[in-house]
Parts: sequence; C-alpha cells; structure tokens
Amino acid sequence: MGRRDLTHVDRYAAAAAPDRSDAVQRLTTYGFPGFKDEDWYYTPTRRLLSEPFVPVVGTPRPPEVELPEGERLVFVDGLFDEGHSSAALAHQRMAVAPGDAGTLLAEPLGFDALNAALWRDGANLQLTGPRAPIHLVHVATGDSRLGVVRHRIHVAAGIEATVVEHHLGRAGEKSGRALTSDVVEITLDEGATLHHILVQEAHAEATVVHTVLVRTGAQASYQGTSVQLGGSLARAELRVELAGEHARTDLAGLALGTGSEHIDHHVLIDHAVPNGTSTQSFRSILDGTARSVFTGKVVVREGAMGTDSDQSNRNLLLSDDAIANTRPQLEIYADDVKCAHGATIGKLDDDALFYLRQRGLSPKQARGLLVEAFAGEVVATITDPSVREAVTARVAHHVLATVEAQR
Amino acid sequence: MLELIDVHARIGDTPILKGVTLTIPKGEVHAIMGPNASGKSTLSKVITGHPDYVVTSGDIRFEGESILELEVEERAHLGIFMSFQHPVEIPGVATSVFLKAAVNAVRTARGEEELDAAGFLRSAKKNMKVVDLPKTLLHRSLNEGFSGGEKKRNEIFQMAMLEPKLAVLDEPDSGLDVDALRIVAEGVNHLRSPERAVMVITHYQRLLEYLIPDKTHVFVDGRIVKTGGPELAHEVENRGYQWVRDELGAAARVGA
Repeated sequence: MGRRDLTHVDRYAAAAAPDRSDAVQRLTTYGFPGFKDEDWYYTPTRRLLSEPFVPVVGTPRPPEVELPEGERLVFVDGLFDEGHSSAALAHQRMAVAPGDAGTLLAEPLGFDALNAALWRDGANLQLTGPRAPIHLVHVATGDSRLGVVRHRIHVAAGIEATVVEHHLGRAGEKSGRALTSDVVEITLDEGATLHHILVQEAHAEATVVHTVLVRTGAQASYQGTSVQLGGSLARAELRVELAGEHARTDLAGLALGTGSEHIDHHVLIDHAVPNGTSTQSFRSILDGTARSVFTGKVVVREGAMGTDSDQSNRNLLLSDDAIANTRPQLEIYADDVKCAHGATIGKLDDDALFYLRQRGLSPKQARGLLVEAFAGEVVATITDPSVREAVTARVAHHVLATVEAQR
Repeated sequence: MLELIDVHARIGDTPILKGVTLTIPKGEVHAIMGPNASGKSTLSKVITGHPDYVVTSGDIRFEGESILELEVEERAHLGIFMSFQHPVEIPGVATSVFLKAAVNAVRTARGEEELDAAGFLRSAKKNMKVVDLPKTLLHRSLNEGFSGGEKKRNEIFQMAMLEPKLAVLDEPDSGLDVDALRIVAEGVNHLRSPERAVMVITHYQRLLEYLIPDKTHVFVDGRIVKTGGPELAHEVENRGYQWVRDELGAAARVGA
C-alpha cells in the first residue's frame, strides 16, 4: 500500500455546512467567561477582551517564521496555507465545515462557542496506518487578528500515531496582539494510541485558547504532552473521556512564563467505565509576575471500578512575585478506585546552586541547568526521538532567555 | 598555597569560627579532626565562599592573594575544590552533562581550550577507574539514587576531573564501610602531588590510616587547639576529644 492509501481523505461537502446560529446565539447570550465562572476564576479575560479581535478571510499572510520540519499542514491566522503545507496532506482537511454529527463539542460556551461559530478550516486526520509524525502548525501574525481552527483526528483500531501541534508567532517587532482558538476533537478506536504533543510559543502578546477533546475506545491510549512557552494568555484544556474499558491517558504539561505572562492548564479526565488508568504530571516555571494555573479534575463515574488515577503538580518560582495556582478536583462516585494527587511550590534549591557553583559553573549556568532539568521531566514524556529533540531545543532556548533576563 | 589568618566567621548571628590560623603548603595533606558541631564543616564552607557564611575578621589567602571578595565559582576557577559531606542529588541533570560543563567552565577560566565530547569521555573513563566507578554512572542523574559509597567516590572522581590546586574534603569517610573507605582514600592518595594541597576534615582517625596526613590539627569550639603529626590522630582516637578539652582547661587555669 502506498503512503497516500494509509489515510482516508474525508472532505465535507458545502451542503453539509452546519447551522451556526446555535453557537452564535450561545455566544451572544452567555458571552465570554469572567471571574464568576469557576473554571476561569484564576484566568481573567477582561483585559484580553477589552479591545476587539478581527476575524480574517481570504489569502493567508506569509508566515515569516521558521516552520517545523516534516509532514505538515500550516494555518496562518486560521487560514490554510497550501504553499507551506505538505502536498501529501493537503486533502486531509475540513476545508468546508462538517456537520456537527459526531462532534465531541456539545453545547459549546464561551471560547468553544466562538470556535463553533467561526471556524473555517482545519485538519481532518484519518490515521489508519503507521506513518511519520504529522505536524499541525498555527501561525499568529498579530495586528489583533483572530484565527479560528477546528481539527479532527481519528486513529483506527490498533494503530499508533503521533501528531504535533505548534503555535508560533512572528518574532520581535513583527509580533503583536492576536487570538487563536484551536479546538481538536480526537477519537481513538479500540487499542489505538495517539501521542499528541502541543508546543505553544506564539510569543508574549499572543493569546491561544486550545481545547482538546478526546474519547477513547477500549484499551486505547491518549498520550498528551503540552509545552506552553509563554504567551499573554495561554490556556490548554485537555478533556479526556475514557469511554472503553482498560483505556488509559497520560497527560504531562509544562508552563514556562516570564514577565506578566499567564499560562493555564485545565484538565478534565472522565473515567466513564471500569478499569481505566489516568496520570497527570504538570509543572510550571515562573519568573517576573507571571502566573500559572493548573486545574486537574478527575471524575470517576458510578460503576467505574478499578479506576487508577494519579496527579502531580510541581511549581518552580524564580521570583518573589510569580504566582502558581493549583487546584486538584476529584469527584468519585465509585468504590474500589485509587486516586492520588499531590502539589508542590518551591524555588531553586540553594544547596544545588552552591554545589554547581563550587564546581565552577556561573550562577546563570547553574540556574539554567536546574531549570532545564525541572522542565526536562515533562519533555521526556515525548516518545518520538526527533520530536523530543526538537522540543528539548525549544525549551532550552526559552529557559536560557529566562535565566539570561534575570539579574 | 592556603593561609587562614585569625579567621572569625558566623552564620546568621551565631559565631562559629573563633580565630582560625592555619597554613597548608602545596604538596601537603593536612587533617582537621574535631568533634561534632565544632565548626570544622564551616571551615570548608568559608574557604569555598558559601554565601550563608560571613567572615567577620581575619583573612583567607590562596597563593598569596586574599580570596574573601571572590564568588564561589571564582574560587573554583582558581583551583579550589570541595568534596561535600552530603553531595546534592540533582534529578534530571546527567552526571556527564554537569561535569563537562564544570570542566569546561574551569578550563575556560584558566584560558585553556574546552574539551570536546570525545576528549571529555576519554578523560572521564580514565578517572573513573581511579575510584572504581562504572561508566554507566555518567548517564545517570547527578547523585540521584546513588549509594553512599557511590556519592563519595563520585566526589573524588570530580576532583580528578577538575584537577584542583587545593582540595577540601569534608568528611569523605562519613557513612562508608571499610572497603568503600579504602577506595576513597586510595583515590585521594592517587591525586596527591607536589603541586596540590589537601585539607581533609574528619571525625574519625580510621580514614587517616589509609590517607596519612603530613599534619594533624585538632579543632574544638571554632579553633585549632592542637597541631601535630600523623601520630596526633591516633592519640585523639585513643584518648578522645575530652582529653584535649581537659588539657586546654588546665592550660587556661595555668594561664589565669
């Protein structure tokens, strides 16, 4: 079988475009979340929304950023950029809106409703055979542009696949205020495994609201790693429903924030059936007045016996003014389950710094090494060696910039 | 090589060193023996420049120059090395990554060319043999999950890699069984050289049977109270520190 045959092209006809009035109505009725919304309590949106964002149509701007190597689909401000995308993947898109049939995004509110109302394009990956990692690349070009994309990923029974999502921004003076809404719907058939890596480095003025919705079949495995490298406001929501027995999900996340950046990991794991396993390992590294929020909610439904769930959240504060909020939430309606959680907040170990400096390392070198090591345990969850190496390099770049900026 | 001149030091408001005067010429090994809480570990911290310790009077000179104003890493660049009583575990930092950075930081400061990966590995393999450490240790996180003996041997291995002019060994024997002790002592003996001074701090005489010092100093209550040859260690071991204290008390009474 040729490579093209391994994936199944699924293009939606214009006639199937959904009625968006529901989403629009929900957005206009309920608006965006504010501080009264429990799920957004520590992530204020008022400043973000005080000035309008502009949805864009037509031809995408040139990305003007270094794009990741490999098979990729590129979206600039939410618009498909055919010229920078791999020809072999170009047809695996939802170029025209699909019907809402089978959507995992029911009754959307807030940013989800915005996405449902305005998305125009996205990938539609039907992964039915082994292949190299696929990269979904998003570029925000600034000028208060609003980019909205929706992706669907389906992994067939017994198949193992890797999808990497990148959120990039233009560097330096070309950067600017921008909002990206990215919703990904993922379904895993029995025994399927998806390694899903999110790498967000859109830059300090960008806002990215990324929602990942996953439903697994029996014995399926969703392996999610979210690496959030800055952002005016970066929110990654990972909602995983273990809907088949003996399914598992392992989620890891890194938030690296400096200046006044704000990074929010919001996790919901729904153990709907027995014998599911879930782990969460989230870390943040914060300097300046940066803030991170981690919410890890685990629901164990009635009858979901044999559930095994573990959560850890560790936060490293490099300044006195950085803030880390951590919120473990367990809702358990079944007996015979194991649910553990733990959280720590601390600063760099003075004994370790002294040890490294005694061996000749400068304070910056020593701090860099320790911060990189702290971040490294998240990056280590990436199994594909080339992806891991690339992400390691990006993390190192941001760690170095953070440490260099310290006095 | 190293001169301490009437050094007084404190941590917070607590005075710990109360007038330490000591000279270690190059090529010599000096043992500092003292009971617990006598301040002998503070001595190593003050020589290496630990930021928590403040020298309130006196001077510390290395190769004739005062080093009191120098940062920890600047002293390391001059060639001052300390082996830690409790080497710090650093998860996520591979021993090789750390040590290559350290070796090259010191080399750069001395105006020498940096070692490349192959050069570093060659040197590491050679020096690991000195203290009987397996090569696999290079890939493990620094000191994480190491046994007590591995940690201490790793300190001596690092010393061999960094080739210091002055090595301050803070209780390199603590927590070791006699076999591990012998390996550590032989490692240090291997690194003895006419160009290198060694200060070895210990609670027990046992180590000094394998690592025979040129001089022994007895350290009590923040000061050196007695200095002698290697035989002094045996005397302390046989008669206990109380003997030194009693002798001091008697001397004080005579003085009064």
